Amino acid sequence: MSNNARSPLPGDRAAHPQTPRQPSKCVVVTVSDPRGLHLRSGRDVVRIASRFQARITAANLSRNSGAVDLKSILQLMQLQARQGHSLRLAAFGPDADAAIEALCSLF
Amino acid sequence: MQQLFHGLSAAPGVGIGNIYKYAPAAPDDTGGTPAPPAGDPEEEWERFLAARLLVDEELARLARIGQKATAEIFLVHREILHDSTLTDAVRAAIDAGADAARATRQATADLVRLFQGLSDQYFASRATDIRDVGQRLVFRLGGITPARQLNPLPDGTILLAEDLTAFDTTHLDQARVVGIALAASTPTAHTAILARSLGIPLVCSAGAQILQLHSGMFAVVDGIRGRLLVDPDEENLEQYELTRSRLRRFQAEALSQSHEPALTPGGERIPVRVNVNSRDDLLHIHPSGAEGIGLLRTENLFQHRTSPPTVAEQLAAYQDVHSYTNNHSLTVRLLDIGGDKPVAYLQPPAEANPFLGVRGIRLLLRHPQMLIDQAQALIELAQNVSPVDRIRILIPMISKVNEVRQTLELLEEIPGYRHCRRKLGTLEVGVLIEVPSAALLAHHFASQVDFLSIGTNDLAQYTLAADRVNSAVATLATPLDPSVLRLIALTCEAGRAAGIPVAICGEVAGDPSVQPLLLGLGLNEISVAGPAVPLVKSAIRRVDVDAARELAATALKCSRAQEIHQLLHDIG
Repeated sequence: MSNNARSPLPGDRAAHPQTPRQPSKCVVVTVSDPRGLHLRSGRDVVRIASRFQARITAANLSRNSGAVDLKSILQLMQLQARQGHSLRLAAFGPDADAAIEALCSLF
Repeated sequence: MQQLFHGLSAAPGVGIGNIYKYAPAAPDDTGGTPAPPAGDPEEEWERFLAARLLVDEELARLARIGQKATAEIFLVHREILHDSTLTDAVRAAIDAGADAARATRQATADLVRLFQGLSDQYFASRATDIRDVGQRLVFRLGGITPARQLNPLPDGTILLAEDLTAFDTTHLDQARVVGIALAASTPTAHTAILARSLGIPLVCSAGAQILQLHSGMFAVVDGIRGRLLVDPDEENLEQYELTRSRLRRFQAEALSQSHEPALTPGGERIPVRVNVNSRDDLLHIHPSGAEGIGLLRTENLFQHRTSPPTVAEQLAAYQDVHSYTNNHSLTVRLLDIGGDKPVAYLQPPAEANPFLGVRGIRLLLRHPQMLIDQAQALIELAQNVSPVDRIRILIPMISKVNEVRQTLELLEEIPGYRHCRRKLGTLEVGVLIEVPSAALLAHHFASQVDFLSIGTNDLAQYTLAADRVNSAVATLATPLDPSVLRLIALTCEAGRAAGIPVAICGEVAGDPSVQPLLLGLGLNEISVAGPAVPLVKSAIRRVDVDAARELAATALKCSRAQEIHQLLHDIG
């Protein structure tokens, strides 16, 4: 599931360009939780993301961060997402649309 | 000779005993023993998976037996335990030839370093969670972990350390630890949450100098006021013994009623609020049952940058803090900065004695635009709140009546100020009483403001000319000195005559046993560190106000702090 297993900080390599014909979906959300995307709310995001086959990444546009694997709480924490930050969520795979729809409801 | 160290209150209570100093080895240190040769990678991986299963069961068990706050910690730790980033890194290290324990150490140490480098403090603190999970795994893999030194411990142990992980705290000999003092850490760290649920008094952020102390020294951990007192003199020790026995009686009751308002038996409601120094403190507000923020320090917003924050930046920051007040008021202290914490863009002159120099309102009146911008941001916030969750501006370091007048004149000119303060009732202005002259002259300006708040830490140190962080004189600067009490009484009198409330926001207010004295002196509102809220509320519920007034009258006649301690003891 994770193509960047050897590096805790994947940077933009997670964008995985060599998967051409797969459905993909991308959306920008704003963190609304006053405490930011902290451990507890982050856990819910990881839980939901893990239900889908699609590879799902997130980048924190407000911090100019690289994209991280949304199925890993340790990567999600590295986004340092606070209330008001914009995150770009991207999903690649057969259920990409459904994944993004489910995740959007959490922000 | 007694030594006093100031830290932060992280779990209430008083512990008296002997220091046991805990100096864990670095997490990736194998303790000098040569690692056994690694087996076949598949075998090592199987060992890792078996250890992970044991740790998972252990965390699940811990989550079941704890209270809700502690259960959350362990559930999150389970999540980290199964996280693909961690397990993939362990697998990679095993494939590269490491044994399971070494691979776990290496993978967690890399992640810990990575998180420690993050700029946001909350996320950087998650390094502790990762280290904790790593320790549990290494422990199960038979590796040496420092927590093996924490059990068993001698009776009456005061545990002293740089920091403790949640793992350390769950593995320590809980029945024998009567108090914990940490050089680092914060009141919202997991260790603090665990200590509160275990009922072990904890002082954190006490500074690196406590690590100079050694095992066997006799000490008191004062988790109420956030102090560590080593080799206490007889008077202090006696007081602490009394406080300890009193607290034990009330603790359970206090926690169960922390979300109820604090009403005296006569029905007077005393708001109990929290002092906020950092973002972490915000997380205490709701769980502790506090009614809003009684003192928000704003220095952090202004430091470590090259120009002052804009109105918009400040507004965003105050809005964020306000969202944590749970529909209660927010008291914001205007920038209280001086030569001790120089801010480059103000080009402060070098001062021999910054605490007696250009600081607080003295500095702001020399840089009026900074005062106006800060007030502007607060007024904009006040336009969008209700009188219940109103904004209160607190003016620091007032020593002259003129300074109050000048500040109010500047505020009057800011758009929206009059409307919010006079029409909407969503903005109040108050004076922080922390210089003796301000207490003595409070009756001259009380009628022009909406509240007074007494900062007893500074008031005591300015009254007694004793620096509270200089351990050679710190005990002189007690707010329970009769000289300070008389200044508090004068301030309360001025407030009463003007018909405005008087609050207290010093450390002493967090001590449940002084509540009768404070209410007897005429204080109307209390602001304390988050963990102290439940016990302070519970103490207020027992204050007979008539008896408290008599107590205050007697205290004001005393000549020595010791007599006042004795009075408090007699009524406790």
